[in-house]
Amino acid sequence: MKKIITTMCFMLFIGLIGCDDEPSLNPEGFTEFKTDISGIWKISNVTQNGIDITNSLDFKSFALNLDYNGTTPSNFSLASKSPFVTKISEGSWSFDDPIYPTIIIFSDGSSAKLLKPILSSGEKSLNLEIVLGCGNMVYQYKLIK
Amino acid sequence: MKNLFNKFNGRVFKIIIFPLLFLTLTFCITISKIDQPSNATIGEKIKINLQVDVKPSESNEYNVILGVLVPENWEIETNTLATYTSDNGSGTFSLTPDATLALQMTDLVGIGKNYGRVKWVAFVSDGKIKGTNNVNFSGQIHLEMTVGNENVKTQLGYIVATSGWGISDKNIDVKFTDCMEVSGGTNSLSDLCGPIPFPVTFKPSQFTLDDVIKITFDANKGPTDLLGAEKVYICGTVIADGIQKDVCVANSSNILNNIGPNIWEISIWGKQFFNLPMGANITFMSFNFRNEVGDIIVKNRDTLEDFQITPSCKF
Repeated sequence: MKKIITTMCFMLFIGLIGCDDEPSLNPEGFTEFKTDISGIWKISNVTQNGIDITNSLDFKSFALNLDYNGTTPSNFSLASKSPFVTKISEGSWSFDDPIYPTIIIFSDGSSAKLLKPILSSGEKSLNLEIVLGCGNMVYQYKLIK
Repeated sequence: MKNLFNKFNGRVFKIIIFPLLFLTLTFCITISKIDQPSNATIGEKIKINLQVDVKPSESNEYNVILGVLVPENWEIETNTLATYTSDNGSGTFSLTPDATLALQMTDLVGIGKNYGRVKWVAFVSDGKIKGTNNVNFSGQIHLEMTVGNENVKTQLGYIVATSGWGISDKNIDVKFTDCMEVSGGTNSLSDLCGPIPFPVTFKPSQFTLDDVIKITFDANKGPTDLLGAEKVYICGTVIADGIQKDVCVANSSNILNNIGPNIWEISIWGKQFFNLPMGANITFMSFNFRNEVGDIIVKNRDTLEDFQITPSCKF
């Protein structure tokens, strides 16, 4: 009997310790950053419906420069004689969503789908999916800085 | 009488007398029967017999000309034994040194159902055969020749003629046999009797003129002028925004990659290949293939024009 009382007192003690403090929340909540992919992007790899065509064409001249105005996408310039979705060499660009972007939109109305989520502002590679002509012909570009 | 003769001026002679004379003097020689195997194994020596009937329109003696149509890679010039027996004598044939005979045969009668890659080989009898005006006679031509070493389906052909009348219309006879097949080789069957294989393919299967297009050129098919070429270049024409532009000068941007025996390929993106603005609207693209010098050009055999790239996109 004495052992039972001792055990119950111990459990009560433990229980009182566990309920001692209210759980505290981060008063500032989660911080969401605006995606930053600024810089000059070059081509690392290109596929056409899954077939690697990187060495089939001259992609060396390709350079996509994405600028920001503060934290907001602003202008772009494209130095290229290689196939790419936008048909203008400079203009403005934007994301479909500045925090959770899935599409890059160029000012001529063309767009490139982001194949992988951008998890940080220091991304060193950009994976895009575009259509150049035929709707069922998908090109995937891996761009690197 | 003199007045009557004068009436036969040059015009009357050309219109009336000359055709009658021609008909009278036409030498009639025909192949009435051919015994030839319908199939063979690569490298096999086959025997062929031709039944020949002759209706001389004059008394004279001539060599007999024999033409045999075979695939280009059959070496019958060196492996054929050709002989003849006839009412008017027997003898042998030899390969003629006159290369023009085979060309005349090709020009006059063509190459049968074969789409190409065949040749006429001309033999001439070593001795002359006498004929007497209006006295018909018959003969047999016996051929033993070795077929090639590749699987092929082809239509063989035979021409008989005489040295006196040459390879001319109405003075020869030509017969093409049913297509025969040679098998046992390692290559896939080359069906010369079938439709002309198209030498150019495009990938992907669906595209617009704004897509990257891989062009493969198989010099083994269709016009074979670039067979054995060391380098092959593409010469292109584009119409963009209503303006035509050509790229033909051989350089590193339009040279094709060799990916197999006489098989070449290149990937192009129209705006890059033709150095067009990125916003150009391409409405037409076509190509031919040529050697480095540009004196051998392969075009579409069906149209005699460049190979046109026709958009195939359905989406």
